[in-house]
Amino acid sequence: MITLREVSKQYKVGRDWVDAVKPTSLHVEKGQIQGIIGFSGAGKSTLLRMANLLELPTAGEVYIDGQELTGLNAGELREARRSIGMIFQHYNLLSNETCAANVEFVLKAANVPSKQRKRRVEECLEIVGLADKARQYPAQLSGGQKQRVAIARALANNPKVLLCDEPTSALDPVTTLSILEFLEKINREFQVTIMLVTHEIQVAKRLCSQIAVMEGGVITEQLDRSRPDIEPVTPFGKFLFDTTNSSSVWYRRGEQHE
Amino acid sequence: MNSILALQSEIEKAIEQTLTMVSISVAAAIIIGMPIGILLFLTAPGNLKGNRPLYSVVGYLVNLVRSFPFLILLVALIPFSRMIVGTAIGPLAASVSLSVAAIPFYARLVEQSLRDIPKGIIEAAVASGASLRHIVFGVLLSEARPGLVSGLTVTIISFISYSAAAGTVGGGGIGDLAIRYGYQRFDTEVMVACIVILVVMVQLVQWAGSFAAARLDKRK
Repeated sequence: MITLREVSKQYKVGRDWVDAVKPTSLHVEKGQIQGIIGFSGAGKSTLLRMANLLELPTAGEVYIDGQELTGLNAGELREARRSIGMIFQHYNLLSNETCAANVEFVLKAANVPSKQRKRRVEECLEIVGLADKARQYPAQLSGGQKQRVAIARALANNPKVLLCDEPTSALDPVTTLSILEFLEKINREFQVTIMLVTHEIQVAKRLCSQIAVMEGGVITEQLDRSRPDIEPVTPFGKFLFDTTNSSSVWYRRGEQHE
Repeated sequence: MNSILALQSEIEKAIEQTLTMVSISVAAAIIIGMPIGILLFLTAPGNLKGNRPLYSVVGYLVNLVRSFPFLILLVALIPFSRMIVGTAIGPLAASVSLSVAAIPFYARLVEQSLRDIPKGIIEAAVASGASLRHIVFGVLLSEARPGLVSGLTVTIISFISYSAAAGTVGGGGIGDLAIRYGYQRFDTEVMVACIVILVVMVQLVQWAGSFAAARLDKRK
Protein backbone atom coordinates (compact mmCIF):
# COMPACT_ATOMS: atom_id res chain seq x y z
CA MET A 1 0.00 0.00 0.00
CA ILE A 2 2.88 2.34 0.86
CA THR A 3 6.21 1.99 -0.87
CA LEU A 4 9.14 4.29 -0.34
CA ARG A 5 11.90 3.37 -2.77
CA GLU A 6 15.38 4.64 -2.09
CA VAL A 7 14.03 7.96 -0.81
CA SER A 8 16.45 10.45 0.65
CA LYS A 9 16.23 13.99 1.94
CA GLN A 10 18.97 16.56 2.18
CA TYR A 11 18.66 20.01 3.72
CA LYS A 12 20.89 22.94 3.16
CA VAL A 13 22.08 24.31 6.48
CA GLY A 14 24.15 27.40 5.86
CA ARG A 15 26.57 26.27 3.17
CA ASP A 16 26.49 22.58 4.01
CA TRP A 17 24.11 19.85 2.97
CA VAL A 18 22.81 17.68 5.79
CA ASP A 19 21.31 14.24 5.26
CA ALA A 20 18.01 14.03 7.16
CA VAL A 21 17.23 10.72 5.50
CA LYS A 22 19.82 8.69 3.62
CA PRO A 23 18.59 6.50 0.77
CA THR A 24 16.01 4.28 2.47
CA SER A 25 13.30 1.89 1.33
CA LEU A 26 10.20 0.79 3.15
CA HIS A 27 7.21 -1.22 2.06
CA VAL A 28 3.96 -1.41 4.03
CA GLU A 29 1.34 -4.00 3.07
CA LYS A 30 -2.35 -3.14 3.01
CA GLY A 31 -3.97 -3.27 6.44
CA GLN A 32 -0.69 -3.21 8.38
CA ILE A 33 0.33 -0.79 11.09
CA GLN A 34 3.90 0.21 10.46
CA GLY A 35 5.71 1.92 13.29
CA ILE A 36 8.86 3.96 12.90
CA ILE A 37 10.79 4.43 16.09
CA GLY A 38 13.98 6.23 16.92
CA PHE A 39 15.42 9.13 18.83
CA SER A 40 14.86 12.76 17.95
CA GLY A 41 16.72 13.70 14.81
CA ALA A 42 16.81 10.14 13.46
CA GLY A 43 14.85 11.28 10.41
CA LYS A 44 11.65 9.40 11.21
CA SER A 45 9.27 12.35 10.83
CA THR A 46 10.97 13.35 7.59
CA LEU A 47 10.54 9.80 6.29
CA LEU A 48 6.85 9.81 7.21
CA ARG A 49 6.29 13.23 5.67
CA MET A 50 7.75 12.00 2.42
CA ALA A 51 4.91 9.45 2.17
CA ASN A 52 2.47 12.23 1.19
CA LEU A 53 5.16 14.52 -0.20
CA LEU A 54 4.74 17.16 2.52
CA GLU A 55 8.48 16.71 2.37
CA LEU A 56 9.69 16.39 -1.21
CA PRO A 57 12.34 13.65 -1.41
CA THR A 58 15.69 14.79 -2.80
CA ALA A 59 15.78 11.46 -4.64
CA GLY A 60 13.72 8.27 -4.79
CA GLU A 61 10.11 7.37 -5.47
CA VAL A 62 6.97 7.20 -3.36
CA TYR A 63 4.07 4.91 -4.24
CA ILE A 64 0.68 4.86 -2.53
CA ASP A 65 -1.69 2.08 -3.60
CA GLY A 66 0.30 1.54 -6.77
CA GLN A 67 0.27 5.20 -7.79
CA GLU A 68 3.60 6.97 -8.00
CA LEU A 69 3.11 10.25 -6.10
CA THR A 70 6.52 11.54 -7.11
CA GLY A 71 5.38 11.48 -10.77
CA LEU A 72 2.19 13.52 -10.32
CA ASN A 73 1.49 17.15 -11.19
CA ALA A 74 0.16 19.54 -8.54
CA GLY A 75 -3.53 18.88 -9.25
CA GLU A 76 -3.10 15.11 -9.33
CA LEU A 77 -1.14 15.22 -6.10
CA ARG A 78 -3.96 17.13 -4.36
CA GLU A 79 -6.36 14.48 -5.60
CA ALA A 80 -4.12 11.68 -4.32
CA ARG A 81 -3.65 13.34 -0.94
CA ARG A 82 -7.39 13.16 -0.32
CA SER A 83 -7.02 9.43 0.19
CA ILE A 84 -4.10 9.87 2.58
CA GLY A 85 -5.17 11.05 6.04
CA MET A 86 -2.69 12.58 8.43
CA ILE A 87 -2.62 13.43 12.13
CA PHE A 88 -0.01 15.42 14.01
CA GLN A 89 1.50 15.78 17.46
CA HIS A 90 -0.05 19.20 17.98
CA TYR A 91 -3.36 18.31 16.28
CA ASN A 92 -3.21 21.30 13.90
CA LEU A 93 -6.93 21.98 14.07
CA LEU A 94 -8.41 25.26 12.83
CA SER A 95 -8.71 27.17 16.09
CA ASN A 96 -11.41 29.60 14.95
CA GLU A 97 -13.69 26.87 13.60
CA THR A 98 -15.89 24.38 15.39
CA CYS A 99 -15.05 20.68 15.48
CA ALA A 100 -17.68 20.02 12.84
CA ALA A 101 -16.26 22.76 10.60
CA ASN A 102 -12.77 21.28 11.03
CA VAL A 103 -13.96 17.94 9.71
CA GLU A 104 -16.04 19.62 7.02
CA PHE A 105 -13.04 21.55 5.72
CA VAL A 106 -11.39 18.49 4.19
CA LEU A 107 -14.71 17.45 2.63
CA LYS A 108 -15.09 20.90 1.08
CA ALA A 109 -11.51 20.62 -0.14
CA ALA A 110 -12.54 17.39 -1.88
CA ASN A 111 -15.60 19.14 -3.40
CA VAL A 112 -18.11 16.89 -1.62
CA PRO A 113 -21.65 18.31 -2.04
CA SER A 114 -23.07 20.13 0.98
CA LYS A 115 -25.72 17.57 1.99
CA GLN A 116 -23.31 14.66 1.98
CA ARG A 117 -20.79 16.75 3.89
CA LYS A 118 -23.12 17.26 6.84
CA ARG A 119 -23.87 13.55 7.03
CA ARG A 120 -20.22 12.56 6.76
CA VAL A 121 -19.19 15.06 9.46
CA GLU A 122 -21.70 13.49 11.84
CA GLU A 123 -20.52 9.98 10.99
CA CYS A 124 -16.87 10.82 11.55
CA LEU A 125 -17.43 12.57 14.86
CA GLU A 126 -19.57 9.58 15.86
CA ILE A 127 -16.70 7.19 15.09
CA VAL A 128 -14.40 9.04 17.50
CA GLY A 129 -17.17 9.44 20.08
CA LEU A 130 -17.40 13.22 19.90
CA ALA A 131 -20.76 13.79 18.23
CA ASP A 132 -21.79 15.93 21.21
CA LYS A 133 -18.80 18.27 20.72
CA ALA A 134 -19.63 19.14 17.11
CA ARG A 135 -20.41 22.78 17.83
CA GLN A 136 -17.54 23.37 20.25
CA TYR A 137 -14.22 24.97 19.42
CA PRO A 138 -10.91 23.10 19.79
CA ALA A 139 -9.83 25.32 22.71
CA GLN A 140 -12.76 23.96 24.70
CA LEU A 141 -11.53 20.36 24.37
CA SER A 142 -8.87 18.30 26.13
CA GLY A 143 -5.74 17.17 24.27
CA GLY A 144 -7.12 13.69 23.72
CA GLN A 145 -10.39 15.05 22.40
CA LYS A 146 -8.55 17.37 20.01
CA GLN A 147 -6.58 14.43 18.65
CA ARG A 148 -9.84 12.53 18.18
CA VAL A 149 -11.26 15.45 16.19
CA ALA A 150 -8.07 15.36 14.13
CA ILE A 151 -8.62 11.63 13.56
CA ALA A 152 -12.22 12.32 12.50
CA ARG A 153 -10.91 14.92 10.06
CA ALA A 154 -8.29 12.52 8.71
CA LEU A 155 -10.98 9.87 8.15
CA ALA A 156 -13.53 12.11 6.46
CA ASN A 157 -12.49 11.37 2.89
CA ASN A 158 -12.28 7.58 3.50
CA PRO A 159 -8.51 7.38 3.23
CA LYS A 160 -6.64 4.22 2.34
CA VAL A 161 -3.68 5.34 4.37
CA LEU A 162 -3.34 7.20 7.67
CA LEU A 163 -0.04 8.88 8.51
CA CYS A 164 0.53 9.60 12.21
CA ASP A 165 3.32 11.97 13.22
CA GLU A 166 3.93 11.47 16.96
CA PRO A 167 0.16 11.44 17.61
CA THR A 168 0.42 10.67 21.33
CA SER A 169 3.59 12.54 22.28
CA ALA A 170 1.70 15.45 23.83
CA LEU A 171 -0.71 13.22 25.75
CA ASP A 172 -0.70 11.50 29.13
CA PRO A 173 -0.42 7.68 29.29
CA VAL A 174 -4.14 7.03 29.79
CA THR A 175 -5.18 9.31 26.92
CA THR A 176 -2.41 7.80 24.81
CA LEU A 177 -3.98 4.39 25.30
CA SER A 178 -7.41 5.62 24.24
CA ILE A 179 -5.99 7.20 21.08
CA LEU A 180 -4.16 3.97 20.27
CA GLU A 181 -7.43 2.09 20.67
CA PHE A 182 -9.09 4.42 18.18
CA LEU A 183 -6.26 3.92 15.71
CA GLU A 184 -6.52 0.16 16.15
CA LYS A 185 -10.27 0.31 15.58
CA ILE A 186 -9.85 2.39 12.44
CA ASN A 187 -7.25 -0.02 11.11
CA ARG A 188 -9.48 -3.02 11.83
CA GLU A 189 -12.89 -1.69 10.82
CA PHE A 190 -11.98 0.43 7.82
CA GLN A 191 -8.87 -1.47 6.65
CA VAL A 192 -6.84 1.72 6.79
CA THR A 193 -3.11 1.12 6.46
CA ILE A 194 -1.30 3.11 9.15
CA MET A 195 2.21 4.47 9.27
CA LEU A 196 3.10 5.89 12.66
CA VAL A 197 6.14 7.71 13.94
CA THR A 198 6.86 7.68 17.65
CA HIS A 199 9.72 7.84 20.09
CA GLU A 200 7.72 5.92 22.69
CA ILE A 201 8.56 2.24 22.54
CA GLN A 202 5.42 1.31 24.48
CA VAL A 203 3.27 2.97 21.83
CA ALA A 204 5.02 1.11 19.02
CA LYS A 205 4.81 -2.23 20.82
CA ARG A 206 1.16 -1.79 21.69
CA LEU A 207 -0.04 -0.82 18.24
CA CYS A 208 2.27 -1.82 15.43
CA SER A 209 2.39 -4.96 13.37
CA GLN A 210 5.81 -3.93 12.08
CA ILE A 211 8.36 -1.66 13.65
CA ALA A 212 11.17 -0.03 11.73
CA VAL A 213 14.05 1.21 13.85
CA MET A 214 15.63 4.38 12.54
CA GLU A 215 19.01 5.74 13.42
CA GLY A 216 21.10 8.38 11.72
CA GLY A 217 18.73 8.84 8.78
CA VAL A 218 18.39 5.15 7.83
CA ILE A 219 16.22 2.21 8.84
CA THR A 220 18.62 -0.07 10.66
CA GLU A 221 16.19 -2.93 11.13
CA GLN A 222 12.59 -3.96 10.64
CA LEU A 223 10.87 -6.06 13.32
CA ASP A 224 7.65 -7.99 12.83
CA ARG A 225 5.14 -8.85 15.53
CA SER A 226 4.16 -12.06 13.76
CA ARG A 227 7.80 -13.22 13.85
CA PRO A 228 8.79 -12.96 17.53
CA ASP A 229 11.62 -15.39 16.84
CA ILE A 230 13.47 -12.66 14.99
CA GLU A 231 15.27 -10.77 17.70
CA PRO A 232 16.63 -7.26 17.30
CA VAL A 233 20.23 -7.45 16.14
CA THR A 234 21.50 -3.89 16.10
CA PRO A 235 22.64 -2.57 19.47
CA PHE A 236 20.09 0.20 19.20
CA GLY A 237 17.25 -2.20 18.42
CA LYS A 238 18.29 -4.42 21.32
CA PHE A 239 18.30 -1.78 23.96
CA LEU A 240 15.07 -0.28 22.65
CA PHE A 241 13.35 -3.60 23.07
CA ASP A 242 14.84 -5.32 26.06
CA THR A 243 14.61 -2.59 28.62
CA THR A 244 11.64 -2.04 30.83
CA ASN A 245 12.62 1.30 32.20
CA SER A 246 13.47 4.21 30.07
CA SER A 247 16.20 5.62 32.31
CA SER A 248 18.24 2.47 31.78
CA VAL A 249 17.91 3.02 28.05
CA TRP A 250 19.59 6.34 28.37
CA TYR A 251 22.15 4.93 30.78
CA ARG A 252 23.16 2.18 28.39
CA ARG A 253 23.14 4.57 25.50
CA GLY A 254 25.63 6.70 27.41
CA GLU A 255 27.84 3.70 28.11
CA GLN A 256 27.96 2.69 24.48
CA HIS A 257 29.42 5.96 23.47
CA GLU A 258 32.18 5.85 26.04
CA MET B 1 -20.61 77.87 22.62
CA ASN B 2 -21.92 80.51 20.24
CA SER B 3 -19.44 79.95 17.51
CA ILE B 4 -20.06 76.20 17.59
CA LEU B 5 -23.83 76.67 17.30
CA ALA B 6 -23.33 79.08 14.45
CA LEU B 7 -21.19 76.55 12.69
CA GLN B 8 -23.42 73.57 13.33
CA SER B 9 -24.16 72.89 9.69
CA GLU B 10 -20.47 73.26 8.79
CA ILE B 11 -19.51 70.82 11.53
CA GLU B 12 -22.04 68.33 10.26
CA LYS B 13 -20.72 68.70 6.74
CA ALA B 14 -17.16 68.29 8.00
CA ILE B 15 -18.04 65.08 9.84
CA GLU B 16 -19.69 63.75 6.72
CA GLN B 17 -16.61 64.61 4.67
CA THR B 18 -14.29 62.92 7.13
CA LEU B 19 -16.47 59.82 7.11
CA THR B 20 -16.43 59.83 3.29
CA MET B 21 -12.64 60.02 3.17
CA VAL B 22 -12.16 57.34 5.82
CA SER B 23 -14.75 55.00 4.27
CA ILE B 24 -13.32 55.23 0.79
CA SER B 25 -9.72 54.74 1.88
CA VAL B 26 -10.59 51.88 4.24
CA ALA B 27 -12.67 50.22 1.52
CA ALA B 28 -9.66 50.48 -0.81
CA ALA B 29 -7.49 48.97 1.94
CA ILE B 30 -9.80 45.98 2.23
CA ILE B 31 -10.51 45.46 -1.46
CA ILE B 32 -6.97 45.99 -2.73
CA GLY B 33 -4.72 45.96 0.35
CA MET B 34 -5.93 42.62 1.70
CA PRO B 35 -5.25 40.67 -1.51
CA ILE B 36 -1.81 42.29 -1.70
CA GLY B 37 -1.16 41.21 1.90
CA ILE B 38 -2.22 37.66 1.06
CA LEU B 39 0.01 37.74 -2.03
CA LEU B 40 2.96 38.90 0.08
CA PHE B 41 2.37 36.09 2.56
CA LEU B 42 1.99 33.36 -0.06
CA THR B 43 5.00 34.41 -2.14
CA ALA B 44 7.37 34.89 0.81
CA PRO B 45 10.31 32.48 0.37
CA GLY B 46 9.52 29.15 2.00
CA ASN B 47 5.77 29.69 1.96
CA LEU B 48 3.08 28.00 -0.14
CA LYS B 49 3.79 29.85 -3.39
CA GLY B 50 7.29 31.00 -2.50
CA ASN B 51 8.50 33.29 -5.28
CA ARG B 52 11.36 35.53 -4.30
CA PRO B 53 11.31 37.91 -7.32
CA LEU B 54 7.57 38.58 -7.07
CA TYR B 55 7.76 38.93 -3.28
CA SER B 56 10.64 41.38 -3.58
CA VAL B 57 8.96 43.53 -6.23
CA VAL B 58 5.62 43.75 -4.40
CA GLY B 59 7.37 44.26 -1.06
CA TYR B 60 9.49 47.02 -2.57
CA LEU B 61 6.43 48.85 -3.96
CA VAL B 62 4.66 48.57 -0.62
CA ASN B 63 7.69 49.99 1.19
CA LEU B 64 8.08 52.73 -1.37
CA VAL B 65 4.58 54.11 -0.83
CA ARG B 66 4.82 53.64 2.93
CA SER B 67 8.06 55.60 3.19
CA PHE B 68 6.45 58.79 1.88
CA PRO B 69 5.53 61.23 4.64
CA PHE B 70 1.78 61.46 4.13
CA LEU B 71 1.64 65.17 3.41
CA ILE B 72 4.22 64.79 0.65
CA LEU B 73 2.37 61.83 -0.84
CA LEU B 74 -0.75 63.97 -0.81
CA VAL B 75 0.92 66.71 -2.82
CA ALA B 76 2.73 64.32 -5.12
CA LEU B 77 -0.53 62.64 -6.04
CA ILE B 78 -2.42 65.82 -6.96
CA PRO B 79 -2.11 65.15 -10.72
CA PHE B 80 -3.19 61.56 -10.18
CA SER B 81 -6.24 62.65 -8.16
CA ARG B 82 -7.15 65.11 -10.89
CA MET B 83 -6.93 62.32 -13.44
CA ILE B 84 -9.13 59.95 -11.42
CA VAL B 85 -11.85 62.25 -10.03
CA GLY B 86 -11.37 65.32 -12.23
CA THR B 87 -10.36 67.66 -9.41
CA ALA B 88 -7.59 68.06 -6.87
CA ILE B 89 -9.82 69.65 -4.23
CA GLY B 90 -12.44 68.19 -1.91
CA PRO B 91 -12.97 64.94 -0.03
CA LEU B 92 -13.09 62.78 -3.16
CA ALA B 93 -9.73 64.02 -4.38
CA ALA B 94 -8.24 63.56 -0.93
CA SER B 95 -9.69 60.03 -0.87
CA VAL B 96 -7.51 59.09 -3.82
CA SER B 97 -4.27 59.82 -1.99
CA LEU B 98 -5.65 58.44 1.26
CA SER B 99 -6.47 55.20 -0.58
CA VAL B 100 -3.01 55.02 -2.10
CA ALA B 101 -1.57 55.29 1.41
CA ALA B 102 -4.09 52.92 3.03
CA ILE B 103 -3.56 50.03 0.60
CA PRO B 104 0.08 49.23 1.47
CA PHE B 105 -0.55 50.14 5.12
CA TYR B 106 -3.19 47.44 5.52
CA ALA B 107 -1.37 45.02 3.19
CA ARG B 108 1.54 44.81 5.64
CA LEU B 109 -0.79 44.34 8.60
CA VAL B 110 -2.57 41.53 6.73
CA GLU B 111 0.75 39.89 5.88
CA GLN B 112 1.80 40.10 9.52
CA SER B 113 -1.37 38.53 10.88
CA LEU B 114 -1.09 35.69 8.35
CA ARG B 115 2.47 35.05 9.51
CA ASP B 116 1.17 34.51 13.03
CA ILE B 117 -0.81 31.43 11.94
CA PRO B 118 0.95 28.28 13.17
CA LYS B 119 2.62 26.59 10.18
CA GLY B 120 1.22 23.20 11.16
CA ILE B 121 -2.37 24.30 10.58
CA ILE B 122 -1.58 25.28 7.00
CA GLU B 123 0.39 22.07 6.57
CA ALA B 124 -2.57 19.98 7.71
CA ALA B 125 -4.68 21.64 5.00
CA VAL B 126 -2.00 20.96 2.37
CA ALA B 127 -1.84 17.32 3.49
CA SER B 128 -5.61 17.02 3.05
CA GLY B 129 -5.31 17.93 -0.63
CA ALA B 130 -6.97 21.34 -0.31
CA SER B 131 -6.54 23.75 -3.22
CA LEU B 132 -4.99 27.18 -2.81
CA ARG B 133 -8.46 28.75 -2.87
CA HIS B 134 -9.63 26.56 0.03
CA ILE B 135 -6.46 27.25 1.97
CA VAL B 136 -6.78 31.02 1.52
CA PHE B 137 -10.47 31.25 2.36
CA GLY B 138 -10.84 28.27 4.69
CA VAL B 139 -7.58 28.46 6.61
CA LEU B 140 -5.71 31.75 6.23
CA LEU B 141 -8.62 34.17 6.41
CA SER B 142 -10.34 32.10 9.09
CA GLU B 143 -7.33 31.65 11.37
CA ALA B 144 -6.18 35.25 10.98
CA ARG B 145 -9.65 36.73 11.51
CA PRO B 146 -8.96 38.40 14.87
CA GLY B 147 -5.67 39.83 13.57
CA LEU B 148 -7.30 41.07 10.37
CA VAL B 149 -9.96 42.89 12.38
CA SER B 150 -7.40 44.40 14.78
CA GLY B 151 -5.35 45.51 11.78
CA LEU B 152 -8.42 47.07 10.25
CA THR B 153 -9.08 48.95 13.49
CA VAL B 154 -5.54 50.34 13.45
CA THR B 155 -6.00 51.30 9.79
CA ILE B 156 -9.29 53.12 10.37
CA ILE B 157 -7.86 55.07 13.30
CA SER B 158 -4.71 56.00 11.40
CA PHE B 159 -6.76 57.18 8.47
CA ILE B 160 -9.08 59.27 10.60
CA SER B 161 -5.96 61.17 11.57
CA TYR B 162 -4.53 61.14 8.02
CA SER B 163 -7.83 62.50 6.72
CA ALA B 164 -7.44 65.45 9.08
CA ALA B 165 -4.07 66.12 7.47
CA ALA B 166 -5.65 65.81 4.04
CA GLY B 167 -8.02 68.57 5.06
CA THR B 168 -5.20 71.07 5.08
CA VAL B 169 -4.69 70.78 1.32
CA GLY B 170 -8.34 71.29 0.50
CA GLY B 171 -9.74 67.89 1.35
CA GLY B 172 -12.39 69.22 3.67
CA GLY B 173 -13.44 67.35 6.78
CA ILE B 174 -12.87 67.90 10.49
CA GLY B 175 -9.17 68.66 10.04
CA ASP B 176 -9.95 71.38 7.52
CA LEU B 177 -12.48 72.94 9.87
CA ALA B 178 -10.00 72.90 12.75
CA ILE B 179 -7.38 74.61 10.61
CA ARG B 180 -9.67 77.25 9.11
CA TYR B 181 -11.51 78.28 12.27
CA GLY B 182 -9.43 76.98 15.13
CA TYR B 183 -5.99 77.84 13.81
CA GLN B 184 -6.37 80.63 11.26
CA ARG B 185 -9.10 82.51 13.16
CA PHE B 186 -7.93 81.66 16.68
CA ASP B 187 -11.33 80.21 17.49
CA THR B 188 -10.45 77.89 20.37
CA GLU B 189 -13.99 76.64 20.78
CA VAL B 190 -14.09 75.24 17.26
CA MET B 191 -10.65 73.71 17.72
CA VAL B 192 -11.78 71.98 20.92
CA ALA B 193 -14.98 70.80 19.26
CA CYS B 194 -13.01 69.29 16.37
CA ILE B 195 -10.66 67.50 18.73
CA VAL B 196 -13.56 66.14 20.77
CA ILE B 197 -15.23 64.84 17.63
CA LEU B 198 -12.01 63.11 16.53
CA VAL B 199 -11.45 61.63 19.99
CA VAL B 200 -14.99 60.27 20.08
CA MET B 201 -14.61 58.78 16.60
CA VAL B 202 -11.35 57.07 17.49
CA GLN B 203 -12.72 55.75 20.78
CA LEU B 204 -15.80 54.34 19.09
CA VAL B 205 -13.77 52.63 16.38
CA GLN B 206 -11.32 51.18 18.89
CA TRP B 207 -14.09 49.92 21.12
CA ALA B 208 -15.98 48.32 18.25
CA GLY B 209 -12.78 46.85 16.80
CA SER B 210 -11.61 45.32 20.07
CA PHE B 211 -15.06 43.92 20.70
CA ALA B 212 -15.28 42.33 17.24
CA ALA B 213 -11.75 40.90 17.42
CA ALA B 214 -12.45 39.31 20.80
CA ARG B 215 -15.71 37.83 19.56
CA LEU B 216 -14.01 36.32 16.51
CA ASP B 217 -11.12 34.85 18.47
CA LYS B 218 -11.91 31.28 19.53
CA ARG B 219 -8.38 30.44 20.62
CA LYS B 220 -9.17 31.43 24.21
